[in-house]
Amino acid sequence: MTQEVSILMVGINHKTANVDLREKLAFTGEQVKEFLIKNKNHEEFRELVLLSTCNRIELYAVCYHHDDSLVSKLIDLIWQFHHLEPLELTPHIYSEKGVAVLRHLIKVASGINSMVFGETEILKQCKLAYEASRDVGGVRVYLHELFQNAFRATKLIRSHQKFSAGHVSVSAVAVELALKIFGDLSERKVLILGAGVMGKSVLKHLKSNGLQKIYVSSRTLERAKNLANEYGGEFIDFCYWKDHIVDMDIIISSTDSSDWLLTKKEVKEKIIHHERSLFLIDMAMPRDFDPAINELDHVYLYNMDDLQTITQENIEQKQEEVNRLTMIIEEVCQDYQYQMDGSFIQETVIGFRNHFEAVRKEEVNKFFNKNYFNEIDQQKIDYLTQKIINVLLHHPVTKIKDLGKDPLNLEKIQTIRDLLQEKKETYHEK
Amino acid sequence: MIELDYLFLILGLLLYGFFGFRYFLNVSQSSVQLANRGIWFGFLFHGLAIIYRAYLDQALPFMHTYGILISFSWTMVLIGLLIAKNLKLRMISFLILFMSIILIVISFHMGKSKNPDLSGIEGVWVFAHVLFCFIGYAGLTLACLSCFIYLFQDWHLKQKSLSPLFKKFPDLNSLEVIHLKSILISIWCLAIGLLLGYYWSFHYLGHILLEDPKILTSMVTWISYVALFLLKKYQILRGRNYYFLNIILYMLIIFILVFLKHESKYQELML
Repeated sequence: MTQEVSILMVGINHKTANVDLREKLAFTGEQVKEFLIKNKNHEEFRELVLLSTCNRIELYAVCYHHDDSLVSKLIDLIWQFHHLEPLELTPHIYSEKGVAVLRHLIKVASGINSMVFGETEILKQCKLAYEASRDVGGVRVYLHELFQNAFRATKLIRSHQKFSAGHVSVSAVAVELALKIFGDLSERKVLILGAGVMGKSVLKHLKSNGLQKIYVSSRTLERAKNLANEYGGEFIDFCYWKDHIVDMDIIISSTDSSDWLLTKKEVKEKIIHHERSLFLIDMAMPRDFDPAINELDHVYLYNMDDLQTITQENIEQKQEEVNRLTMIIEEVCQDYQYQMDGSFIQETVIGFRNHFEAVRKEEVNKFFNKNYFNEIDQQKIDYLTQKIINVLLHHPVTKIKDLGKDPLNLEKIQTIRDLLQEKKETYHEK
Repeated sequence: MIELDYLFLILGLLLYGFFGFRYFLNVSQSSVQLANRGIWFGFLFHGLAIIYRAYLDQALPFMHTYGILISFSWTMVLIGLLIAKNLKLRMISFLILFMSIILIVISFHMGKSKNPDLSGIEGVWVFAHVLFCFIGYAGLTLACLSCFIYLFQDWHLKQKSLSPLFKKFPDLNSLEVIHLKSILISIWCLAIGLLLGYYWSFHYLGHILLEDPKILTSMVTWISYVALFLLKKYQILRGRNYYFLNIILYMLIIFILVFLKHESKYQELML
C-alpha cells in the first residue's frame, strides 16, 4: 500500500448496534446520493462509498495522507449529515484500515457477515452503493479496485459448492423445515398454542416468509387476543382448539401444560381426512405433544431439542465453511496487497530517482552560479552528470524492482524509503 | 469412421453433462438459465442424431433398440427442460438428465438391426402411437423419480437430519404436485397412444390382439395407474404407502417393456 494513501472504513451493523441506533444512522437512497454529492470535494476524503442497508451502515473512504484522527472524522461525516448530537458511539462503531477493509468488504458482500448467513441480497446492495458513488464521481482508482476485488472474491465464494444459506437460530430452522414441507407458506394455516416467547419468535419468522392465516389459542385469554391482534390473526377458545386441527397445516405449542396436550391417537383420528402434511412444533418444556406422533404418516413433529440439534449442526457446518472461505478471502487480499504494492514500488523508484536528481541539480546549479563555464559547457556538464546519475542508479533501481516481486520484501523496501527520507533530511540540514 | 449420428449424440452428451452439472452446483436463476440454454443446444444435437438415423435407415427411428433408447432419452430431456423452468425443481431435471445420459451411453452398445416385433410397422399412425407412448412413459419415469425423492425427503424429515442433499431437493408439496401432474399427463398420453395402437392394429391387422401378453399388460398397467391416481386424488391412499406402490408399478412397466415380448401370433401377422 502506498505510504501516502489510506483506505479505511467505519460502520455499525446488527451485531454492534440495536435497531434504534441503526434507524437513526440509516440513509435512504436519495440521502445516500445527497451525502455523496455533499462530500464529493471533501478536502481529506478523496473517494467515498456509503453502504446503507437495514442491518448495516458503512462508509468506505480513501485519504491521501495518514492521520490517526481520520476514523473519527469519517464518523463525524455521518453525524453531521443527520444533524444529530454526537453520541457515545465508540462501543458501536467498528473500523478497518488498509487490506483489512477489503477483507471486511468481502465478508459483507458475500453474506458471511449477514444476519442470515450466505444471503445474496447484500451483494446487490453493495453493487448499488458502489454504482451510486461512481455515478457522482465518488469512486476513482482505489475504491474501484477495492470493490472490484470484493465482487470478484464474492463470485469465487458463491461458486464454492458448500456455501449455502443455512439457518443458525431455532426459529429460522423451524421456518426452513416448514418451507421444506409446504414450499409456499402464503396459503397455509398456523395455530399457536400459548403465547410463549419462542412461539412468538417462530410466528414472526413464519410471517416474514409470507404466512397469512394465523390462529391463536391460549389459556390466558388476554395474552392470546393481544398476540392475535399483533399478528393480524384470529383467536380460538382454548377449550375447542382440537376441533381446528383438521384445518391447520402448522401447530406451534409453547404452553406450560404438564401433560400431553396431544397424543398419537388423537392426531390419528383428527387427520384421517387431512389432505396435506401436518407440521407440529413443540417449543414447550415440559413437552406438549406426545413424541410418538412423529411415527404417523405425513405428520412431522419437532421439539426444542430437535431444533436445537439442527441449529448446532448448521453452526458447525457454517464454521467449517467460514474456515474454508477464509483461505479464498486471504488469497484475494494477498493479490490486492500485491497489486497495491506495485504502485508502492513505482513510487519508491520515482522517489529514489527524484532524490538523486534533486541533489545533482542543486550541486550543479551551485557550481554554475560561480560562472566558471559558458552556456554550452554547462549543458554538457548537465548532460554528463545526468548520465552518471542514471548509470549509478541503474543497478539499485533494478534491484528495488526485483525486490518488489516478492511481497515478503516489503519491509526491505520500506527501509530503503526510510533511508532515503533520512538522507534527504540530513542533506537539507547541511 | 465415426457415424454422423454418433457425433451429434456425443456433442449432445457433452452439453448435457457440462450444463446439467450446473443444475447441481448453482442455485441462482441466471446460472440455471445459462444451463438451460446449453442443454437446449444439446437437445438440438440429440434431435439431429435421431433425424439422421431415421434418414439413414429410411424408417421410423424406433425400429431398433438403439433408436428406441435415443428417442426415449430425447423425450426425457424435453421433460427435464420443461420442469427446469421452475428453479426449485432443478435437481429433478439434473437427475432426469443423468438418466438420459446413461440411456444414451447404453444405446451406443445396442444393435441397429430391425426388431422382428416392429418389422412391419410404418406410417403416421404408428409414429403418433409411439410418440404418445414415449411421452407417457417419460412422464411415468418423472413420477417415479419424484416418488423416490419424496421418500428420501420424508425419511430425512422423520429422522430429523438435514443433510446437504436434503436441502438441495425440492419441498414435499412441490414433489407431490409435479408427481400428480406427470401422472395425469402420462395417463392421457398413454390413453391416446394405446387407442392409436389399437386403431392401427385394427386397420392393418384386421383385429385387436387383446390376448397378446404385451398389449394386455400395457392395458392393465394403464388401468392400474388410473386407479392409483384416483385413490390418491380422493385421499384413500396417501403418504409413504402410495409412493411405494407407485414405484412398484413403475418397475412392472420396466419389466413389461424390457422382458415381455409380443406373442408369436402377433409376429406372424406383422410379417
